[in-house]
Amino acid sequence: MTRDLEEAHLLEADDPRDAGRRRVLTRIGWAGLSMLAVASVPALFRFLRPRAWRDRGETVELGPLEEYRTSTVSARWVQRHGLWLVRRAGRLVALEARCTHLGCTPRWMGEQGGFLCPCHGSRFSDDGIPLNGPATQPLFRLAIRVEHGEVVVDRSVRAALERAERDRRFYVSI
Amino acid sequence: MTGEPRWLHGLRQSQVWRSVFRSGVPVLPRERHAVVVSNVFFHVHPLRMRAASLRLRRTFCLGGLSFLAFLVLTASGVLLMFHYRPTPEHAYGDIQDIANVVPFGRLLRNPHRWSAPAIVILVIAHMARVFHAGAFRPPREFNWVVGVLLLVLTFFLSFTGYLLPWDQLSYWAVTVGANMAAAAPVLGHLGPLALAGEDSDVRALLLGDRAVGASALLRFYVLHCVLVPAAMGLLLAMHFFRVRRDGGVLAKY
Repeated sequence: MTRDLEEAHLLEADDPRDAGRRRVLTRIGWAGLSMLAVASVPALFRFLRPRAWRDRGETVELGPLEEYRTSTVSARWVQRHGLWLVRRAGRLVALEARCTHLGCTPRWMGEQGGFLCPCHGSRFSDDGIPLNGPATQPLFRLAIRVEHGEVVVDRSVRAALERAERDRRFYVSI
Repeated sequence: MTGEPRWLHGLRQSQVWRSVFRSGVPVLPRERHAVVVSNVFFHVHPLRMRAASLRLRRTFCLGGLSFLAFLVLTASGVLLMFHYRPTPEHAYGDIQDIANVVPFGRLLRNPHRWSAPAIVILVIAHMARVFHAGAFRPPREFNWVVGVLLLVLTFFLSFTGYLLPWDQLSYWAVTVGANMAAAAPVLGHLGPLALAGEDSDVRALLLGDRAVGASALLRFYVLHCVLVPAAMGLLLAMHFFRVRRDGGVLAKY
């Protein structure tokens, strides 16, 4: 048994002509492994990215304008589209239901309560101005228009209160 | 051994017994050494320890207590996994069931829930003790770094675990936390020097969606139960090894 091993060893004795080939093959091997390793980084990143990305740039239809003539604040679409429709001083505006502090969804507590954020207690008036709490900026407004009697809001277009008050894209008369 | 009953003597001489326990009860230091180095569970521990290192005021046992809390969390956590499904439909109800229906469920859930703030407090106290004793000075600097990494992972375990009950506190806490992550430099899409867009920044990778939902719950579950504990186990092994190698807690810092 030992004799066979010795003979096998002799047969595999290093021939100097093999050195170059071995070097090339080794380098190809390492290059291949390195490429795999490098490629796995963006692969992992893409693997972890969100699968579905609901497009927020939607224009949403919110029903006939008539339905909003009687209410002051309509919380009908908060769950689905993240906005309130607020009727005030002859105008209907779409307020984005996202607290300007850290992004939680406030809740409409009625005339006396305003919008109250559950996370840190920020309170906003019915036109989105912060009354107290850590939030300092007013709630954002979304582009709103009426098409064939239907209220249509474009959620990808938003503006801060000061600009929205003067910009026709951010309110409709009601 | 003299005086032992015949049947016990026979048992001890049997092949089964001798294949499991290769030596008898060790008495001599050399025998005790042999047992320690030839046993997989013993050999990760030091061969011997100075009794004086158990002196309380040196360390207040804070590192040890932190590790104890970690073990409690791991054991209770693994058992809780048998009754918890990480989906929005089931998560909250399953935890209610664990607390109210499953036999001994509350005995598992409550230690898990309370050991979490306990480990945070213990780990911070441990860090303070190490700092005040100067036990970060050379050659121990790297171990301090490992400790800080462990601290960050501990916080991250707390954060990911907090979402799993899927109640109001969970949902909004993670909403706020993820929005803060979006404001981080480079990695957040709202931070300075933002490299990534809204769909590929660290917030998107954490939540797996635009907002906290089923994706976030599942990802946090995997992070909380597998990835972060595995990383912590690795770092803990390094941390303990270095303490021992650098002379243990009795050493001069």
